[in-house]
Amino acid sequence: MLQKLKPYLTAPVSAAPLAVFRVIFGGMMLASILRFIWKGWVTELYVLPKVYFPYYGFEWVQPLGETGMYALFSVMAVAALGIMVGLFYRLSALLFFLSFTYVELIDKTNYLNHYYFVSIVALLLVLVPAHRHFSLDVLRRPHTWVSHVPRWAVLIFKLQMGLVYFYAGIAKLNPDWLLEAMPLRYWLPAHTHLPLIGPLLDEVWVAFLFCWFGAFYDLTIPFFLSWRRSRVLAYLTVVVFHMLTAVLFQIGMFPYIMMVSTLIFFSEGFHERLLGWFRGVAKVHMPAAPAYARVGAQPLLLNLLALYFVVQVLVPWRFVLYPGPLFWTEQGYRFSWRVMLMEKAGTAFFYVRDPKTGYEVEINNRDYLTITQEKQMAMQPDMLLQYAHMLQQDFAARGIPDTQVRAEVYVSMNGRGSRLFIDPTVNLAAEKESFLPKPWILPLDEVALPQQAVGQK
Amino acid sequence: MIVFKKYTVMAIACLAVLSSCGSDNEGGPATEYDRQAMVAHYADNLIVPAFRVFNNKTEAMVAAVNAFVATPTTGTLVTARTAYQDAYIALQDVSVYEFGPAEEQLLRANLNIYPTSAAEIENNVMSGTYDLQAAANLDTKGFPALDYLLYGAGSEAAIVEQHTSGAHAANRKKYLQDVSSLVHQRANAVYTGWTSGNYADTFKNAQGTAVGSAVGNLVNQLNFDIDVTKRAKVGFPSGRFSVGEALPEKVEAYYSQTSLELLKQAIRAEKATFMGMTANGTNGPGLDDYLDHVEAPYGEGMLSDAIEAQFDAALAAANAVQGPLSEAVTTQPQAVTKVYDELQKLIVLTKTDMPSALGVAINYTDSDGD
Repeated sequence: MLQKLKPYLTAPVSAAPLAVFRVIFGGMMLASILRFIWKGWVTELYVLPKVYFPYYGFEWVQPLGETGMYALFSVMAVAALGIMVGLFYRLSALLFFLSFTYVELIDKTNYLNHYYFVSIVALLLVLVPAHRHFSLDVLRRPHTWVSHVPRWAVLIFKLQMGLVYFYAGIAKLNPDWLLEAMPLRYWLPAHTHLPLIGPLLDEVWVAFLFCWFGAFYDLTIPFFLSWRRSRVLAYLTVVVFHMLTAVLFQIGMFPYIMMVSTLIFFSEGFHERLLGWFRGVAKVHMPAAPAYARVGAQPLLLNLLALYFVVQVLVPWRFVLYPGPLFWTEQGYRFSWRVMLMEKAGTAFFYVRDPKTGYEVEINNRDYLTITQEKQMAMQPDMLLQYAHMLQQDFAARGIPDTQVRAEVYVSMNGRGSRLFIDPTVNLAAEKESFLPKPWILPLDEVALPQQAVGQK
Repeated sequence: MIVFKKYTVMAIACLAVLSSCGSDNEGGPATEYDRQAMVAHYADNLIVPAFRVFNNKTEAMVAAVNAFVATPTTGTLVTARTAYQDAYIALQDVSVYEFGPAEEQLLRANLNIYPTSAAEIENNVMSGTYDLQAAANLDTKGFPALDYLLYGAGSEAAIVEQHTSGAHAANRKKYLQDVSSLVHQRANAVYTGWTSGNYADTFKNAQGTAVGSAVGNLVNQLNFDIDVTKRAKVGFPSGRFSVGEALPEKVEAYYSQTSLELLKQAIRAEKATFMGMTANGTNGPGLDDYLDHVEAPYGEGMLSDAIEAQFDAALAAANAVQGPLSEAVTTQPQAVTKVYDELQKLIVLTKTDMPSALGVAINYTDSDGD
């Protein structure tokens, strides 16, 4: 199949859209990193915490200390600048991908789909000749200039963005979202003080409108953006949609990143005019003769990319391999473009028992965790498990080995009253992390509330 | 373009059908809820009056302490003790509101770190030189220190003796005055912050539910206060966070043995905050009404009712304990455990269900979400 597609995928297309995308992405990343540093988040999230929650298999990814973390963010910022202006581009893109991904892998507390999106787009950018048009690398080495790149080099970004939207839309096709307008029904009334739309946000029908429009938008926008005749209207919708999310939800740079990234769906002519205008301002001339970028090891690259997209398409479905409702267990929840779907909160009480004395003490979570870490930990089973292991290790380090750790955790989700989340009798210290289902997660049944406190032994 | 329009029409049609279905079992869209009126009610009728009372009570305490220091007798001591107890009770009513001026004054840390360190207090008294603003002296000042100074020696006569013929009597008198006037300074700074400092306006204008908003502050600090009530007032002395046995000396107000009354007052104050109930018992618009407005359910009923009932259960459990708490933790462990469990169930509701329903982030700093 790939063989048949090959002529289509490798056909030359204008390099302008890719160059514009590179500039925009690099610029947005630079702004995001500077904002992150300016807000003090480097210190707050990667220096001050006493413990971190690394991903399974990536436990070796550790924070680098204050100097190290600021150095890493500096590298990241310089690399983002390198991507934007197209200087030492491949190295910049690679450094950006590695530094950004490293930071994200330190602590899953801070997981956001947006960050995952940035990581994989950065990885894809490493693979394309985005620096051979409208870049400082071309000014430095004029013979590397090209007017055209193979079609796949542009297509992979459209495909990736299309997947993000489409899967975000599929994820919205669930009863809570469509039939209960949850969680928007809880989130929107918090914004009734906004001018113009404020009073409307108190109305339940508005929450339903937002839910249904949101699902429709996510599922269809990649197609409407791809189709020339609907593109302008679709892009207007993109702007309105993301502006609304920026006003209503605390999601930082993401709306703006998406607003400008989706420009890649626009025509070659649009991007060429855009670059032509900038060249006019900078008084730079473009070579007259067209040139086509030859990509080394292209067949291998194409096969790898095909494999990559197969993985991208399958990963969001891995949750079907686990029992129980996905939102409740969160087994297979991350890396699947599930955004804004849950109002979930938990409260976790941990108890550590010394088997020698039989005494059990309760833990004050804030002695170990930041507020954000505690909040995320209290509703995600893998983090509960990690925290139990941290507690056991800490007690062992203080001379009390082989402690048993159990947790009484209550979670409320999308308007369902809080209820016991995991088996409070299980010794979590003895449970191992793996990709297998976690049998100690309790089912989300409509149990009679309120429940009795389990308490300390 | 035409296709797009068709889709839009279809989506709106679906919606129309759906919303009409929804209103059948919901009884129409929720009624208007005036959040600004609620926030103003909190500021004008709950918070500012509570800080006014606290300011007055600490002022009265300073006067009573000064009178005792001027002429130490059992009579002036009893007056000083009563004034101290009144002020300590008034602290329970304001400690829920540790944001804005109270946060600047670090009210909880400066006024109520217990157990107090009797040894360090005696050291300070003996040397006569100390810096009560230093972090190292957090456990030698505030109400717990007053508790020790006014009750530590036991009988009224013994206290009077300490301040007349006892060793370092002059130093001790000065220390007592220093500690009590510092308490009043903090109380006064917070009260003026809310009134002439215009924090009340800042509070009323902090709309929405984000970090730093009025509702966000109320919900987060209410939760923090309930957590402190559970952990520090009940948990530490009953030995839940240490190994095994009860630690009676860790109770609040150990020497005056008024821990249980302070605990009950704290629960009552937290409930009043939740209900929007003023000191004279007027139930105005509060977080409970806000929860009803968003139709937050719990089980078969309303979340607001479940939380109110849980406050009452916690209070009933506290009423069932025979004081003083420092003895109860060893003599009636079951009754104390019951208080603890009820507070635990309360925290689950106020920290998990309530912020979710109100769209309040459990967070104290700004961060990005998904």
